[in-house]
Amino acid sequence: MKPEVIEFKVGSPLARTPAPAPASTPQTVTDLDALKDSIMARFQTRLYARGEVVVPSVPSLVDYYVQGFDEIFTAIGKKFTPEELEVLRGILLSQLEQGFAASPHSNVILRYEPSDTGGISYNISNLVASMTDQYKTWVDTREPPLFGSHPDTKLLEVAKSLGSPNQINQINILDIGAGTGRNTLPLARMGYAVDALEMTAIFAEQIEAEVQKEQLPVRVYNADILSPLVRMAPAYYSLAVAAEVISHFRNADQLRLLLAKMCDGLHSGGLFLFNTFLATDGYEPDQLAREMSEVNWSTIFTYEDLAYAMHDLPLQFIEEIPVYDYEKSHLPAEAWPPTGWFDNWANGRDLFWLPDQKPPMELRWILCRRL
Amino acid sequence: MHHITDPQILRQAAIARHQYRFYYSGRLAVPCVPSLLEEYVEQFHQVFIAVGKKFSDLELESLKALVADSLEQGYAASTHATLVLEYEPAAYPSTGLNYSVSTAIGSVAGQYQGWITEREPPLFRPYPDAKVMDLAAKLGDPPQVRILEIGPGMGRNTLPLGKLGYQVEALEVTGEFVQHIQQEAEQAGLPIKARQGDFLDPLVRFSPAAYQMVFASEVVPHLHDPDQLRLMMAKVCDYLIPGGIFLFNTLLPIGDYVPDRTVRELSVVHCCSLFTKPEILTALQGLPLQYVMEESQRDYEQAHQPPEAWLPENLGWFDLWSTGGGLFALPEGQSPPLELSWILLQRN
Repeated sequence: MKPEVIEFKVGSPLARTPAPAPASTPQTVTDLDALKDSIMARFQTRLYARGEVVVPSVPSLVDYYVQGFDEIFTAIGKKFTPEELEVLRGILLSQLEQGFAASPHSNVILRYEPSDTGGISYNISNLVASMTDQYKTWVDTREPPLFGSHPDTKLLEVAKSLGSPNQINQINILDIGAGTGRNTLPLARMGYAVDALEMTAIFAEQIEAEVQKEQLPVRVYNADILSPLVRMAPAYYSLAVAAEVISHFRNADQLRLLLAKMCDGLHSGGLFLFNTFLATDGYEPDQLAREMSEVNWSTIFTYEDLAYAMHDLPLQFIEEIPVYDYEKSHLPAEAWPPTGWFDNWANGRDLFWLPDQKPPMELRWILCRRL
Repeated sequence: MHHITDPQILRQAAIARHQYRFYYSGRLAVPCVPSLLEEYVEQFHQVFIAVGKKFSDLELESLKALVADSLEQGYAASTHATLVLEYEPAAYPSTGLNYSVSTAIGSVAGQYQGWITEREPPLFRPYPDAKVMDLAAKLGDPPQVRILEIGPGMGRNTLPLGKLGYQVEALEVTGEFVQHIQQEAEQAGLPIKARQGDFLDPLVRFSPAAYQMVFASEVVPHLHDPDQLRLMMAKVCDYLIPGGIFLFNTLLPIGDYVPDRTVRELSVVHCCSLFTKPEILTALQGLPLQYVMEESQRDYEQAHQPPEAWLPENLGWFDLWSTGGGLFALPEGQSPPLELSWILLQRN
């Protein structure tokens, strides 16, 4: 994708402050300090600094970024006036907002170089990267299994509550955001008929390959559950699961859309198990925390958000438990931790770096029944 | 070198040479019906031949592949999708043809929007359905009865029900129709709430277990496939109270007639989607809904509506459409094996 670029030039610091015309015969300066200053002032015009700064698109951080850029410009001897900083802030904010609106994985890029007039010229652009782009780099740079080797134990417990699948009793399960099949494949091996939805094409292909190899009862769709064109068989599934998916959502409207679509896809009495980051009661995340939670793959929701998302839907709340505690006590010892990042992430520390304390949010399992 | 002097031959040769100065460009638009791929490609090719650009087999194959993709995509996206083929001469010195294939996606709301600007009112029959009114009458004291209407159009049933005092909520895709109903209801002080939306939209929801009756008159013929019918019925189950009823009408194939794929796709495109009774029963499977009965809508309405309702000027397009004439062009005196039927279901 071609970044959108806004060019902006700052005038030469020399041109900005023209030397006043001498009123009378100029005085000869001999003070050593004054002479040194004058040498350095003249020398600044010969300093050619160019550079690039890449920062995540977080609109709430605009003033923090402006301050940082100001320090860089000061350090290279091109101090901005307050008016110039104000212009920079306006351009930066619009790029941050554009980038963030497109994806929380977007970056904003500041590039600067000497201008013809002895000042600097800069441009600010944004580079949009999607979640699927991000996961593609995981495939290229990390060792599998990317999401852990074991299925979620909470999911297995819920699946078992549906009874055991056999020739006569087909039990249909929908796995939303199946990743590399950590849950899909074990469920299918147990005989459940699983439909797996996965947005990242390369993950969907990996599941499909395994399904073919083992001849498992799985249909794989490379699709986004939130897309209006992605439709499920209505009143068809006994269980739907969305594990580590809602942490990628952008807002409570998307959560409501997911829940509403589940009401359409689940048959009456069917179960929906999902996990999401929930703010501790009494903690109200501000705009910065919400934006940063998206950037850090840990989108935070409050109980108020959840109530809004579930309002008037034919869903009955059954239970809610912390994912970290539950999985830690139920997974076999050799499967713990599921991944190197799981502990910090599930406990909210990818957003709040509190190594020895508890952040006011954590990943929680929520189980609902469709009426 | 042999000099030709025959004026006839020379005239032909001059005209042949002259062809490269002709610039034909054009646009062909057809509804997205995937099973008509062969027919469409043949028709497009005839046009190309007529403008002097006969395609090779290879060129035809690539045209066909493009058209096939677009037809599938368009049909999947909407019952009102159009495939658009545009062509123009290739840039000099090529003597070929450049063409592009695209789809334009429409909607039911867009279709009725067109009716508003193009047609003379009344757009729908002016009389309410006798079946709707008769069933409502059995539900009790009107102010205590909540009714949900899917696809009210201009309020042909909504307003008479409101006048009788029923609490009616109506969901309509076409914005102008919603406004019309709202205005009429407000002026007369009727207990009617009309809102815009698509019943199948996951985010369009009503209060669960709240209505004694849900009905959809001339709506099911707009559905895309049996999955949409099942989705509609599953959502209706959420809104009906136990024992509540769901009434809809559909062009029901008679006897053993099972429409083939082409007829089905065309029925969808022509707003008279066909569902066989076994398909309806399959769509119901596992839902807390009982199939109560089906009956001929024309017979029932003719027997129960006032006679004026059946005057040609009050029937409008309904007469042709309700006998399958919107889908099949059969000679006078012959009719397709379809019967517009009321179907009544009851929630457990």
